Amino acid sequence: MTATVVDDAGDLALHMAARTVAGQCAAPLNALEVAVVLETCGYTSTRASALGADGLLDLGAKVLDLMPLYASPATVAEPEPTKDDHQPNGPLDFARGLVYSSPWLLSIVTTVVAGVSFWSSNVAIPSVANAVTLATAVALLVTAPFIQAFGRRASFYRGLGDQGMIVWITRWTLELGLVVTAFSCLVFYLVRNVVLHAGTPATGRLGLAAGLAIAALQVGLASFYMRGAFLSMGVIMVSAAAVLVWHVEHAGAYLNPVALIVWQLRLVAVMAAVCWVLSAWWLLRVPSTGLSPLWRPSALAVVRSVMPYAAYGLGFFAIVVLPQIVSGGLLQARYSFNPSFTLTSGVALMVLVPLLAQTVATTEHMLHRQFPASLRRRKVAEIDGFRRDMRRYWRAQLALVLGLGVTAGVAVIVGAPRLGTSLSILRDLTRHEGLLAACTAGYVLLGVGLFCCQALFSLSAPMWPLAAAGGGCASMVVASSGATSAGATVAAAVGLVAAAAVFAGVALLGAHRTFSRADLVYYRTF
Amino acid sequence: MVTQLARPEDSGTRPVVAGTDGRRRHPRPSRVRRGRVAPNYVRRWRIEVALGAVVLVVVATSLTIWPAPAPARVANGADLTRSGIVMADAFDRPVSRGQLMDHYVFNGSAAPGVGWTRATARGLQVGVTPHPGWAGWFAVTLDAAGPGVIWHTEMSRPLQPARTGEGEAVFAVQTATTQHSGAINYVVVSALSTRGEGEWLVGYAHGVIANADTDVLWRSPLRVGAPTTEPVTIRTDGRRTLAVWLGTRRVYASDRLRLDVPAPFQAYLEVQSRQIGYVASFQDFWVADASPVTVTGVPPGARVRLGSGARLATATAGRDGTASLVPAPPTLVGTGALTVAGSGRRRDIAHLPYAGGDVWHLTGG
Repeated sequence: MTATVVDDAGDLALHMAARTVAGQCAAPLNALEVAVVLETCGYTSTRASALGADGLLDLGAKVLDLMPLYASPATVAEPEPTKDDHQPNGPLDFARGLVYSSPWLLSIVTTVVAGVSFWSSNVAIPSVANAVTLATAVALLVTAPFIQAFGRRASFYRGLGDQGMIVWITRWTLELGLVVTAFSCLVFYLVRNVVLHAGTPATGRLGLAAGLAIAALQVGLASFYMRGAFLSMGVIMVSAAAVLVWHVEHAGAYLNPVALIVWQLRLVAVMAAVCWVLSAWWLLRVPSTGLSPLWRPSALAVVRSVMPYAAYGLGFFAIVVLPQIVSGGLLQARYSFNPSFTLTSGVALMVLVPLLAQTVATTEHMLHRQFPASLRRRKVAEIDGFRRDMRRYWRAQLALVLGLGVTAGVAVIVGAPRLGTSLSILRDLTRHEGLLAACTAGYVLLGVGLFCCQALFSLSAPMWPLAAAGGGCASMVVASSGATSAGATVAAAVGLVAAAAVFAGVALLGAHRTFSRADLVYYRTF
Repeated sequence: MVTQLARPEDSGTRPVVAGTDGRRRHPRPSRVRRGRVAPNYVRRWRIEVALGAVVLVVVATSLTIWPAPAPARVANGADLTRSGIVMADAFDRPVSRGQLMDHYVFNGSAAPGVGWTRATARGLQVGVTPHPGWAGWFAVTLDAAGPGVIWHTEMSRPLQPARTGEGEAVFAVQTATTQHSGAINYVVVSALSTRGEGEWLVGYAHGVIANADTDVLWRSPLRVGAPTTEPVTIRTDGRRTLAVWLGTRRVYASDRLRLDVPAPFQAYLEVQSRQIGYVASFQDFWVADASPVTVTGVPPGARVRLGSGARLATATAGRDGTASLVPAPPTLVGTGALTVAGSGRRRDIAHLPYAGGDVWHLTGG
């Protein structure tokens, strides 16, 4: 009698467990999945024993037998994700990715059309070119960590819909970054002009203005990227480009290089001011969408969380910027603008356009479609399948990026010198074909590394990218130093290729290992 | 009812539970409470950004103000309401190379280290050290001007004539449109020294990118005692007209040339030599509008006189109180006494730093 009661009670409890599991997972695949769900619902081995099972797994098997009674037809078959949910929408995503490079693309267009971009030109005199390129380097290097930190943190607050916190983080990353850059530019100006007596008085001040204006524009545009405001960013950039081209076209037969750079820098300052004012307007106009205002975290906690990203930003931009300075004689303790290296590396840099676009397309697609779709399709017990999916996806995207890189690289190496016959700005390229090939190879590698790093950032795994950037910088120093005797241009090219190769290698390794256990990394993100 | 406040600390998703009674129950009450972002904070930021944007533009504009290509000029008793000087450098004091480079670019065919430039109290010295073959070095103005201007400098070659090799000091007015057209056409005045003798030449040259061919239009006799220093003044429209003065003497003038030197122009202060080290010196360099010096605020009918001797220019004021003085091109820029004599009181301005194209307005009684 007692046993019957116990059996009945046991059956009842088993049916309750089955209902519980059905509420959580309508169509479990096997006993293991049922056991996992039961465990998450508070079932323990002791409780399983009380229900007459040898353990949770045995309980899972018993409950699985009862599942057909409780899984409704509608829920037994989980909806298969639609094709659009996880299949890449290649051209559209790629086009969207291209928008991210729009300021850069626009400056390339103005350079081809009018021989000038926002702060460079083909008529710059050496003293001006020295001052502006050095200022640009300082501005990019110093703002990079702050922009990376802002990008990471502001996106988070934007996701939580708290405009107040976006203002807060804007102040403590972008504004602070601008202040630090201004200070760095001032120190650089004093060291270069007052201590070393390099440069000229007017170009020294011009360099200071260039550093400030370029840094302000960089950090000003960061908030446009954060909120995906590409239309308004495009309006600002296109308007400025139009003004610039108009100025050049109306300057007459002689384009005074000094008047031009003065004009360019004032225009950049105005662009930066407009960016900041528009960002402020947007932040104050759009109401918070979060349920309640967030608590302001301690500065230390924020610093801790964004530090790897900031350090990565510094390292990455060092790989991009320092070869230019090395080509001017940095390792010989001097600097003289190297037009050949600048032209050649500037042309080679074009390979990054498709690579960046594909990087954006992949990371957006991965986070918003591929991951959710895979998660919907796979059950808890199908971890291996999920991992397989992600590895396959990762390899396909990597193959796509490598293919794009090789295609773009070949196009640049073969096509650019031939364009020199019709585009006067590329006229000298035929004399530097070896250098062009080296720089192109370097930037293809850099693009592949960047792709891996961005994918890792999407999984909130910043340590591999940090290691890649650090390794890249270290190898650049070693390689450039080793090649100094071959001349500044060769040292710069060797440094660039070595840095990019190490950066890409480490990032690739990190991405491969991370995607092999994407489930763990992804869940750790939350 | 319970609402959740996300508390973004390190990973940013740890919840803070808040009841409708307003009390918050923190999972870790020992942690120091941080404030929310106050609305005032956001409003203040608006002002901060607006001010910052204005400051940025003002600072960028201020820092990019370029030094003027000519010194400021003032006079007691007259205000300069329009300046006719396009660029000017007396080169009468030492100036750092950096300061020079804010107005000139140094370049040339000489190898690195062979060409050099120095601004001393005795002028801008442009030189080359001994080298194989022909080589040159120059200082070219950043600003361009013309065609309606006069170009002037006092050019010197070394006192000792070159006995081996050749050397020349060169003052050239060259098209500034090379970037567009590739042309390097120019008019030139040079002081050549070779085999212990010297001569002065006037010519024009045609070329594309490099290696221009020169046609000599006028040359002084090659002789031992040729002057080593001459004030050189050039006027050209770049098409058909060229006039050159050495001192106040016009040595060449024609308006029937086919110069093909597209305006605007830049001045080249240059040295060229074959094998030997050589130095060219330049002082009193100026470029000014080839138009009269105008004085306004003059009593109608008054006689106006500027300078004296060879520099003398006179005019009679019209009914509108304006007098136009036309100095000779070599004396188009200078400092002289301005005298206004009419029916009323005589006015004297002892030192008026005038230039062609200037408009001076007499002030005071």
